[in-house]
Amino acid sequence: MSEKKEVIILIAEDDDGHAGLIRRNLERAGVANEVRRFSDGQEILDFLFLRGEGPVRQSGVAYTLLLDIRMPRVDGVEVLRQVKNDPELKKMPVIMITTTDDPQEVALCHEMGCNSYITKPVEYEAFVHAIRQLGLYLAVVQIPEISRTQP
Amino acid sequence: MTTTVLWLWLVAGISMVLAAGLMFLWRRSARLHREMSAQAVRLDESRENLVTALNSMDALVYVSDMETCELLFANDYATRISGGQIRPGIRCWQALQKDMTGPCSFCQNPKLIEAGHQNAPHRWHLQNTLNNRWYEAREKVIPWPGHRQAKIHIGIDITEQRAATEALKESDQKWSSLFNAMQEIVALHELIVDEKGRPVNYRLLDCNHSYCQNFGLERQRVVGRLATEVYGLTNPPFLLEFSGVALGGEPCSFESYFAPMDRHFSISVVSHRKNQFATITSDITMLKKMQDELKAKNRELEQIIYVASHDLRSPLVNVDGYARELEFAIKTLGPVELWPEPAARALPDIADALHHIRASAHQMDNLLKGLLKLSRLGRAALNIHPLDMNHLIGQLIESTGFQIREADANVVVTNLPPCRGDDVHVTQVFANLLDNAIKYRAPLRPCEIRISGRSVIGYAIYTVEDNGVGIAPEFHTKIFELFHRLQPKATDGEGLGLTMTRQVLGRLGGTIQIESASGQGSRFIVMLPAAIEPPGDQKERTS
Repeated sequence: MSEKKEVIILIAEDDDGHAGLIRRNLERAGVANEVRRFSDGQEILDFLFLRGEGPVRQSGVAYTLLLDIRMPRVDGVEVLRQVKNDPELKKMPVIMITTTDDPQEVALCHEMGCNSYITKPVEYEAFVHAIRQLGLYLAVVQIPEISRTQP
Repeated sequence: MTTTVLWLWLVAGISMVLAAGLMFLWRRSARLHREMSAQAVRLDESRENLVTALNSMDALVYVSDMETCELLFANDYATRISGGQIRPGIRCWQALQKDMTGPCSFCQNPKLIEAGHQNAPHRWHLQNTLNNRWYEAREKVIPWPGHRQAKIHIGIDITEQRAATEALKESDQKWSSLFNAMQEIVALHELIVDEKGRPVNYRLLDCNHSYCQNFGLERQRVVGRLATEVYGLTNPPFLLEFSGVALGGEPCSFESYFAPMDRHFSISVVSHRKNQFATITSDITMLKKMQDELKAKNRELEQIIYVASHDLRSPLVNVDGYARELEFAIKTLGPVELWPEPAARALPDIADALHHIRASAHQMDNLLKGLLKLSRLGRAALNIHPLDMNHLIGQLIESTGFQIREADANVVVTNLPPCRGDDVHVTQVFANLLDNAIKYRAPLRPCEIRISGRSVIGYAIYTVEDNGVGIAPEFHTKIFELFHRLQPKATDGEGLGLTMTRQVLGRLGGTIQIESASGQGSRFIVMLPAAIEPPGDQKERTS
């Protein structure tokens, strides 16, 4: 009998306010999963690729990544590229959360294999709706566990 | 007796002989005399014929003494121009020139003596002072009876030819100085074809001063030489373009980068004769550089707009998001009535402040979205091809059918010439104009919109005309400005439509103009590059 494991939500977002809003709205939408926040692209890459001094991901845990595009050091598109090029990490759902709805940028991210794309709108209702959908998605979808072994 | 008889006989005999001799002599002299007079008559006839011939000539003919200048012969032409002055003993300079007190200063006699009468006639041009006409004179020293040396002068009127030659010379000079004064590099060429008639090279026939200056070549090193020699290249530059013009006759213009000189040129090619062509070239290197700089600046500006609007939206998410959080927080506090006095009084104010914060955040968000849209438009790829405008506008009207019906608008579209552009962008332009025409209709009269078009050289011109509220002339520039809205309260919109319309048209090589007065309706005139296809007939269609 397979026990449905709790998905850990990773948020890579340089803006504290945005990160706070995402967290609050996830909670309000009824998403009670554990949330870990990273302040830029480099931090999340270190975590995912088991590098650096800080915490690294655990084997056998299911993760979902909410990824901002415009971040200092390494931007979201580069993070997405590296994640989707890794045979193990590419199983992880990646949801781009960004301030622009530039069709070219959206197309690029989809091409690179992002699972969803949410624009950070000022119209809060729409954002909440998107987050809620994400919550439903997280509740319904079986997120694959990511093994620690790397080829 | 006998002696006497003998003498008599002798005398008689001698007399007879003498008589016979005399008879003979007389007869002979009479014949001679007859012959001589016949000869004289013939001579007279011949002289008369000669004079008749000389008189009938449309040329000035006279003979004068080389020393005294006395006129020995003058034909009718000479008599005519002298005004009947010719009489025995008159000198040539008296009869045939005006107000002369001595031999003409330009008299060629010394030269003639030098040349002698064995040589060819002396030829020169002179203007007659009596009639001011120009003559080509031929003079020669000839023997003349009773005079040591005489001169025959034959003058042919060349006034007209001379004028024509002068005119030609003047025109030649004019064109030549223009040719050389031109800033443009001008050269004339002749196409060289192989035995199968394929163009292989071209020869420089002439070039102007600017050509020599720009290419650093001397004219002698250019004229008559092959392009490959002149430019030191294996392949003659632009042979394909040039031969097309030289053989087809259709002029063409193009811009090109000429690597050997590291310069950009704008070249116009015309053919005035088969196999020959002229090139008029302008050095546009500076212009190109400026254009490139402008393009880079524009890109930079668009990048700034993009980054700025993106980065400005980021804090706005927080402003609105946390204002919203506060609204949630207030809601959790429960009804106002349950709160003690200071808080109960402050809460509605807080709610009101939050409302204003959020409304402003929304407004700013809309402006930033507009800026993003504008910057995206400037960066969007264009797909330029000939557009059937009848089809395009037809489709646009179909898709705006609901809006048109709702406004009870009558849209008339006449036959539209084709143009060149990007269909998405061109549709956007007309959608915008149509939308404006409906949005700003006059409330008291039925909305009439007319879309028409015509062709001018190189362009298609479209007019979108309405009978709406119109725009006062002082706003004609303002309406194209970013975020400018004439009636921000009455209608919705970002205030971006006409800004984007103008930007789109600019990228497509077109323009937009407005003609309008307040309350009189508006006419927007859109100009786009013409398509190559011929425009159709003028037909009216109503939708």
